[in-house]
Amino acid sequence: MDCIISHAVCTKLNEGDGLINSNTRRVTIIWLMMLLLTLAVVVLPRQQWLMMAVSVWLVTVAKGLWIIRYFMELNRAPLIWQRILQGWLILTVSAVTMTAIRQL
Amino acid sequence: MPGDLALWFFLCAELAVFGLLIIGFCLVRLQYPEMFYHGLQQLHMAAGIANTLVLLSGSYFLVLAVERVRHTDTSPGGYFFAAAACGMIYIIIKISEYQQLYADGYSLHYDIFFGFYFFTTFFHLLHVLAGVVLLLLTQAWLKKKKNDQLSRRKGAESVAYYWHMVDLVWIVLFPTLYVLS
Repeated sequence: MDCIISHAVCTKLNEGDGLINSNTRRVTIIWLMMLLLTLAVVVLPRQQWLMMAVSVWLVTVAKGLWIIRYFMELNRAPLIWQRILQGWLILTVSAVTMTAIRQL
Repeated sequence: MPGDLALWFFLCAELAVFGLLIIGFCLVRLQYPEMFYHGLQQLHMAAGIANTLVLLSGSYFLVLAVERVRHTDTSPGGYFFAAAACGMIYIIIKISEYQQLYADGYSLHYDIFFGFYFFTTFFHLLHVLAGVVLLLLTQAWLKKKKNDQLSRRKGAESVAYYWHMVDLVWIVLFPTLYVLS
């Protein structure tokens, strides 16, 4: 950024740009990984059902935790709120996966 | 704490309702494994994948929108519109999936599986629709509130967190209905 105001103001503005860029880069990588994992889960071999179910559990929990932490920004919230949402995620995904495994 | 505390209580209540529906689905699936096996085979995997991708993309655009609202005084660009467009695509895909199932003879009253399927996904669809309306209203509201940075930030964050909650629910519904079938 061209410094036409003052050095101090410019430094602050550039710091702000840096924050936006680093956060945007991280969120973009997470988004792309979530898209890839969604597609990866679909092409998992169905013959190894147990392994597939465990992989689906891992991928779904990973995607959910990223959403809770980086999209909902609960990494900036008190721990109790993170735990409530993480608990909900793990409980529901585990229930779904265990039900599917029981029907092997 | 990001956003408003009341909003988080509301989001947790919503998650509790969806959580009960998902766990109820699992319990009934254990009792009627063959019915659920048959029902899950009728769902369209491609529609499930496409819906997951568009909802995740909508969430991504909203993170960028909130970032812009926080750090600049200018408009959030087309990010709210982009997220709303993702929501609209989700709705179109879901309705076409309903039409296909209906044409095949499946409806809310067909059996317990389809009762659960239509009720849960339609309930989720209504949340997406509400999200789309909120996104479009927020985009218009942000244009009016150019000088009130605190309100702008709070408004944008609240809508974004609601949308992420809807996305989070779908993240769990996708393997429940399409992958672990």
